[in-house]
Amino acid sequence: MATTRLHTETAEAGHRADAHLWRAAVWGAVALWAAYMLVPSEHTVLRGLVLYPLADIASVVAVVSGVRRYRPRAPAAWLLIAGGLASFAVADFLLGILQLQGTQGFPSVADVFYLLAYPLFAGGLLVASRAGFREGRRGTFIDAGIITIAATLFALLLITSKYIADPDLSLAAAVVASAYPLADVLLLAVTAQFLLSTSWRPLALRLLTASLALILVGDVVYSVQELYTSAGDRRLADALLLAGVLTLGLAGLHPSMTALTARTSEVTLPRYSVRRVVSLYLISLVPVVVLAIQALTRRVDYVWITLLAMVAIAALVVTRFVDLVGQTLRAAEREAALSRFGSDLLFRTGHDELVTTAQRAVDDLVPGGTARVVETRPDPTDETGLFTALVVVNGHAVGSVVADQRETAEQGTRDALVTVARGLSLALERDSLLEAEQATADSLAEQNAQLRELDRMKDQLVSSVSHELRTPLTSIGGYAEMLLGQEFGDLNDDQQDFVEVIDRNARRLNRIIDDILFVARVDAGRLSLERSWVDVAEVAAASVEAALPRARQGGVSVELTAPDDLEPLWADQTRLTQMFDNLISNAVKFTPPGGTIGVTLSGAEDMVSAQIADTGIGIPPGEVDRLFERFFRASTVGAVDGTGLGLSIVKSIVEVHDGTIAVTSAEGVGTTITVELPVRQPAARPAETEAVE
Amino acid sequence: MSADASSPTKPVILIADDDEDILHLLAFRLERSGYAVVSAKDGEEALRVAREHVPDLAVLDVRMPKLDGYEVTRALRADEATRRMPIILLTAKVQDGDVQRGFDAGADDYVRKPFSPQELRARVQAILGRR
Repeated sequence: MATTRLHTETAEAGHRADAHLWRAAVWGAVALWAAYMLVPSEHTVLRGLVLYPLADIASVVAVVSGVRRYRPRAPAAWLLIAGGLASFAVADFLLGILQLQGTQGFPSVADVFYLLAYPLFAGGLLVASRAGFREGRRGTFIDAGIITIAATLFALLLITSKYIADPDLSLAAAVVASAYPLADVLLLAVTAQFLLSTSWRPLALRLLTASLALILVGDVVYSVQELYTSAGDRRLADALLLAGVLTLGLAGLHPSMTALTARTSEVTLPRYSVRRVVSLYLISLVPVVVLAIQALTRRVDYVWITLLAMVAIAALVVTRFVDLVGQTLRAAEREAALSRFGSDLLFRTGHDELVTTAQRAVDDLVPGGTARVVETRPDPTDETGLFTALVVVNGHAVGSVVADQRETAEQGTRDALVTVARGLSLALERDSLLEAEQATADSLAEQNAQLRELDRMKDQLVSSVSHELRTPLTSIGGYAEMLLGQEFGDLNDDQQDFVEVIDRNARRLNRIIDDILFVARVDAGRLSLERSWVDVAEVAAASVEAALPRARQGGVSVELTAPDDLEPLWADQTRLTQMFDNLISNAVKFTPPGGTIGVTLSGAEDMVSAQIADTGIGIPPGEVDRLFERFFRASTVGAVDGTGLGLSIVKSIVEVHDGTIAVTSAEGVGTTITVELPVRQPAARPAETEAVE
Repeated sequence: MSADASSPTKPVILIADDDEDILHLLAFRLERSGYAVVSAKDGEEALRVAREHVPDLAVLDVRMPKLDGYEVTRALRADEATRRMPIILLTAKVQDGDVQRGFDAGADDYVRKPFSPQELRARVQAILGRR
């Protein structure tokens, strides 16, 4: 933490120092320029030998300091520009000396250094342009070409032609004089190309542009003044040129000077703006205007050159158009490839297949097979000119899409490759999520199987324990029965009572075992039905009959009401008996003396319904829903015996017969249970005996 | 275990069960009802006793050591001397295949545990009375 803050503080301090330095340089430059302008022209030594070379050298120093300070990529660009400034310094110094000696002639050795500066400037810009891998260079070359042709035409007609036509000038003088406007054109062409291919936003680049413009305008003004006005007054041209030189130094010293050679991906690219199109259109009209002027002034010396310029511009415009159409077509192809890739990704799964799909898309986008989907992370320090887009899965870079920089000059291609990398990232991530989900599902299935096995073992245990209990029960019940039969001697009243208790409880235990086994069988899905046409009234009557002894004992009356024309049911008679037995004996059990139990059967449509209504203790409202749960016993049952299995068994029986069961109850008033069973055999159940899941 | 098997007038009944209490219970009940009883405590003994005494009826528990009730039934059915002997199986399991398995083996009837001695006697009488 401390280290990070230290770094930040150091960086901030650095930024402040940079800003201070640059502000100081601005004031220095303004002061130098003002001093030059204020010193009267008579002070030729001060102006020519001191101030002017001083401004040149200060600018050189500024640019070199900028390079040392900000360490731009490809420093040669700025160093060449500094070289140009140095060349100016030498030239200005030489000219100052020549002027002092009064031996200045034209051309002189100073002109060699002046002219040397232009290719150095141009060279610097070319280096910058190359270093930036700027997009659409062909397009910017063409645009710059159009500007250059127009400018050349102007230079030829306005300046060079005058020198060539001037009979007073020697051949050398004419050549050197003509060389200036041509050097300007060279610089203009390179500047235009550079400016069209980059963003002007960084201040250093704006200043660079301004300084080159000042120098170019200064040159033009100089030549025009030289040619068209009385010689001697060069203050305006000097002011412009000096300002240009100083501004160039300031550009090199500004912290944003690194933008000159930055890669395109690091700067915001200009859009192909309406302004640019309009400007190019106007510029391409220059030859037409020139022709018009010639026609109007009846001077037709340069018709052929002008026409040539027009043809050249037309050719460049057509080339530009073809390029744009080509770009559009390539964009359409890229879009098609991406769309194919997108839909392919949806239907592909598996790491290898996804990578193959991405490779196919990359091959479509970058023909020639130089672009690859690789499964290694790119080396961040790699400067070999490879374009890379990372493939990231779950926050980790697992690979990348790499391509040769030259093959990915178009922004659209790079964007498309990034899209492929992202699409692949998403697809791989989706795949890994699916795999994790599958693993979870597998483990759940395994656990499920284990649980099933445990459940099966539990059923087995319940079943075998229950069976084991039946043999001792046979002995208990059997011996009790023999004693009660009194074949082995009379029992006194107490003995008789006690043995009856034993016998009754043996029977009760047997019923509990039956219930438990029934439930276990339902759980195991082995409850089988033996269906036949069953007379429900008969079954209900038998159950009522069976319940009568206990009902009488408890002072409860049981009444059966059944219509004569009740339809028979396609059902398991044993199970229906079990159902009625349970329901009726339940009602008897929970109805206090003096109460009544009504068993009412009725038929409607394809259903038979049975209603068992008692005037018993009832069930509290909150417990009605739980009534059919296993082992559930209502809080009102008190000391009445039971396992809590009876109603759950009834429910199972009703359900395997595809029927429904419902309860209404009021505590202390009574309970009514209604069972509805379908009459007909369901079509989908042809077998008479079937296992019920 | 044998009781009064010599009497020529009484029908002889073989009872086989590994539970001695049940064996006693059955013996008491049947002897009281006028039958002669021979008994066995496992499947092999049951087979041996059956071959020795050729009883008029056999009551076999399904679950017995050495040979179970089904196997004894099949063995008796395979033997010419005992082929037509009525057999009642005692079973604690009455579900799905159990009864069918007993009939497939050749049993004439089955009685489900727990049973009442009276009920068993009634079954025995019913079968022997048919003859």
